[in-house]
Amino acid sequence: MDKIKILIADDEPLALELLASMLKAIPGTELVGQCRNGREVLRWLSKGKADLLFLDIQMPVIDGISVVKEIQADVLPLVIFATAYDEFALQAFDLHAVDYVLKPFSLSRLETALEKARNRLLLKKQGADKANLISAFQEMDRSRQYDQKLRIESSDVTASAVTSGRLPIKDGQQTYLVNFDDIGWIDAAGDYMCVHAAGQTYILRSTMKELEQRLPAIFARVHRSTIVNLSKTQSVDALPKGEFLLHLDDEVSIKVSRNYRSAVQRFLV
Amino acid sequence: MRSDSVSSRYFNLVSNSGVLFWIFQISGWMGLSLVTYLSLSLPYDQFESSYLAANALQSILGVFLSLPLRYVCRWAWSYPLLPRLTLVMFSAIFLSAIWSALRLLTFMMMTGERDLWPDFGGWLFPSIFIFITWTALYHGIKYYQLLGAEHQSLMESESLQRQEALRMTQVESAAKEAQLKLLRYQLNPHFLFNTLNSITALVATERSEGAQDMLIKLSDFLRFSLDTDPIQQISLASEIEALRLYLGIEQVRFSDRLKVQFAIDADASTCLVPSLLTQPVVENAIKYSIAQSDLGGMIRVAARISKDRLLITVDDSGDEKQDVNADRILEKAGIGLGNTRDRLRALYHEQHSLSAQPSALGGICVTLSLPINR
Repeated sequence: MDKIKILIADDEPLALELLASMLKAIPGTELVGQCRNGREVLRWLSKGKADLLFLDIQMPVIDGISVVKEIQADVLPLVIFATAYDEFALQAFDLHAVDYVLKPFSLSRLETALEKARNRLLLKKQGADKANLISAFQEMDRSRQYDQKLRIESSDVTASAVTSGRLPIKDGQQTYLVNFDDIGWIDAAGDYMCVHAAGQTYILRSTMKELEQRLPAIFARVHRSTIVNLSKTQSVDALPKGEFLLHLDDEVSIKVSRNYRSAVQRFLV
Repeated sequence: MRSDSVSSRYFNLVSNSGVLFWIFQISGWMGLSLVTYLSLSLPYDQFESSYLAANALQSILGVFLSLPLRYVCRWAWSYPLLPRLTLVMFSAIFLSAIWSALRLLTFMMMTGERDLWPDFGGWLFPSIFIFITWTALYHGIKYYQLLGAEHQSLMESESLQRQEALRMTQVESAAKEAQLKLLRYQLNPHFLFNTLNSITALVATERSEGAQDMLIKLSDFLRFSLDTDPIQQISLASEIEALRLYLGIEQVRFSDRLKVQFAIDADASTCLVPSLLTQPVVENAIKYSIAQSDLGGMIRVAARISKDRLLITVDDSGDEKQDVNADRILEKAGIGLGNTRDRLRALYHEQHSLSAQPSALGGICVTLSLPINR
């Protein structure tokens, strides 16, 4: 198979250097980019393409966990997390087939992680990795809530909230009512939907199909796992191979696949 | 508990006083025989055995006749002064009259002297004095004993109190010591493992001098944080030295992103401070400014003396988001400083202050105000 294209992200320059030098020693890998924070990762992935993202959890502004939540599932590569110290209930990653390494790590540990990644890339369906990651995050949140004995079941929100232009989203013991107008875009991660609204990412347990039925017509499917609120679109770039890039209000860029371009074209013409 | 032991002491006194009573009783009456012998037998040359026997017999009679007086005194002990005095006096006079009569009778019988009854008044008069003296001695000795016992129990309860106070102080200082140990600076595992990762990077990229420098700084800092007694105070100069080691390591980790400035006045650097007190403040500043900022920033540590207070300030340049809401910034600064606050309170009670204001550098300025110790 082709070389694995790897993007690495860490806020410490020495950590980036170390990882770059280690990857150089492993055949079948190609370092395609280096980022020093989460925002750079989001920017890089909206334009470039990588097979594997090596992501430090602790980074300024947007940390590793938020990068995954905020990125469009369809452009998210396979992720290997790196952290110096386990304070995130990392065993949740094991349960959801997400690899992680504790810094500092040996060359052989890195080779094992890359071998696993290679095997998964051979089988990988696009967008499947975000599903695993989001499940792991939910698991971490749950274990943290158990720790704090905070887990209280919330009462179900009645359907009337939906009809009045809002989407109820249950998060642990709280239920948020998110205005449709505030939602920029939504992407699917397995059993979960990530709703990106006003700078926040809400995670909702639902299928793509169910959610599509509940949303107004201004929400359009633009990728296998992505729905966009077209009223939030600022500009559109045409990409090669018939793809598009939608630039939304808050500096977010969403890729439109060839298969779904008709929906976008219909609204934009 | 204490009052119990005191009252049982009184009971002991009463029962043990039996022995003491008999010692005084017998030696007292023997003394009287001796005085009689010296003052009557010698000057009047009455050396016949009958006179000496009469003399001895009068003391033996005295021993027995004064016994009821003991019980009267005891019985009347708790009565008010006037009835008590009357009763005791009356008993003493009454018993002295009996004693005089018996003495006179036996004297006449033993010595063959006759018709001494008209002299009864002359016999009675000194007898009354002897019995009143007996009563007075009884009371005197009894009061002396009670006073002694009371004094002793007072001393004991005082020493008990002193011991209790000492114990309380020891308990308090042990608790405080434990608290201070708990509140001392604890090495942040993130810092340790990230530093080890940086050293690995320096080795992997063959910058052995940099790796060596980093290892030495880390060793020195670890030694400082592990060796230093959390109770003991160190000079601000040593504290700043430890801070320099720590910040030196952080500068290698963050490279171009972290700039550091120190402004320590000479007279402030000789002041004593608890070890690694400023460490968490600086760590917090890095966490919420440098680590949150793409462009990095500046940490400035300053110390000076102002109006008999040692003022230590830690300024940071903030994150680039430039949150305009000062309250929120300060609230954020408070996270992670709780431990420092508790430690200051344990050490200085209300003699300190820890506050945060917006900094001229753009972030937060945390100020520690401490009493001056040298």
